[in-house]
Amino acid sequence: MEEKLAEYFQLSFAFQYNDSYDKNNARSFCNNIRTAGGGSHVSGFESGLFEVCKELIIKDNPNLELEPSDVSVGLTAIVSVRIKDPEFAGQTKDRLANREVREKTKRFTQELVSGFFQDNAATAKLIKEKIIDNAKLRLHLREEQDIFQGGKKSLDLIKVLSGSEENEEIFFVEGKSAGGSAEEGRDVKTQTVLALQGKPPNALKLVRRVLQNKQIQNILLALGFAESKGLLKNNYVRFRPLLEQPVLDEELTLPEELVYEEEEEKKVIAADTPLNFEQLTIVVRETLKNLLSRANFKKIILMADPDDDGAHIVVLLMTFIFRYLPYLIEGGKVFVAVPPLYRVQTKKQVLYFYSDQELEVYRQNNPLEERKIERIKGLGQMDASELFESTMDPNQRRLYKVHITD
Amino acid sequence: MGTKSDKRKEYLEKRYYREAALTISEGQKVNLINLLLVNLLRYGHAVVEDRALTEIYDGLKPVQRRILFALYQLGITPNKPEVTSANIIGKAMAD
Repeated sequence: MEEKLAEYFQLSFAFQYNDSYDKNNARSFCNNIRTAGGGSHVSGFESGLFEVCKELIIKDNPNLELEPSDVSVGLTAIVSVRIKDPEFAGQTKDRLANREVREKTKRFTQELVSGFFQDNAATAKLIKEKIIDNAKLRLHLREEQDIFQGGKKSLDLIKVLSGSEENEEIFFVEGKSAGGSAEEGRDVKTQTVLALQGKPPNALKLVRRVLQNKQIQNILLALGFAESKGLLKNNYVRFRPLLEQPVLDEELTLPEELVYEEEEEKKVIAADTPLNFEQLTIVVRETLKNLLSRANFKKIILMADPDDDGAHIVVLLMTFIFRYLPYLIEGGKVFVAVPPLYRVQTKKQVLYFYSDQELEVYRQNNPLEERKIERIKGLGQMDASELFESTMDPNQRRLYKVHITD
Repeated sequence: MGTKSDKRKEYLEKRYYREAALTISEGQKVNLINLLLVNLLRYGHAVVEDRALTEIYDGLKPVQRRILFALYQLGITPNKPEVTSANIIGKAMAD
């Protein structure tokens, strides 16, 4: 038990380590009131303890990367503060909210605990061993997770992709509800659906944060470009713009030799030798082929609502693809789906119309027919079978292929 | 001002965008630039016209006006007792 008095501030805490791997065994009090939700005093105590332990351990093990969670495993503690004007937050008001308490608690904890460790070297050593043990266990568990599940990243993928064996097409669908019905209505053998939530970031604006964005990561994972290595730095990205230039003004070399097949013969372009224009063309072509074979899908289809926001989402996604995966466009893999605008129900059949003009033409040709015309405002409005029929069915749907010309 | 805005200005002055329409060439192909231009124009137009800017007549954005209209439909005026917000949300979103 250790105490420190300051102006309207009293901190008392006690802690003990044991062999167990329990977490969150800390009880905390503020002015004798139990704070079950923790709060600023608990987080201050934990970070203070972490700083001290880190200092203690890093001396002997400079390579070990400690995380705050390592310190709290096997820790049993009681933290109690007495302060003026406590404020409580959370729905049940069981969390201390005063901000200044965190800094104070952290400072005093550091002071007191490091003093304690100096006075009781034997105990400090035991605690040190326990924390190192925790850190090693954590690293080991993470490794195992990586091996068995292909890393934390693919966990996301399983969630968003409902697995199909022959992945021929992938749909990026706007909104969760439309994603749900698309998933239900899709052709299970050939179509995969990835539901996007909200708008993707503008790839030309927030260049650094784009690749950290969850949606973008999901897209990349789904496409099979999970390692962003090789995504931006490859021979295609490097040399493609140069093909448009009439004259090469600098000497270009390859960092690694490139092996390719032409007319069933293996040919090699050696590394670190200057390239001529023909070789450059070959390099770009081969890299493109290589990159395309890495992509999991034959067709990448963007499917957004036929409204203004849908148009925006298509713009944002295309910007991202253009900026980061331009070879997909050049390879002719990117498509835009065209959802219907109108559904016309006659006595015999259901028809879908994809633009106002088409509907008008139909109206003039069949002026006297009995029918019900319905305007479709979003993908989520249609149910699964309708969605498949009108926008996803390879035999009936409308699909625009995106290509680049100047 | 600046190299970037000069380009933009030049582009706007040419007024290409006025005739922008999605052109679909043979084999159901669309040009990326055309697609982006048309879609972005549509979105930009929609945002400026009925989302982000206040009307000069009442100083309200469409969403705000929508809420006031819902209040009017429910007959909620300053002299009436209070109503839960959930009711109003329901009314504003329903029709």
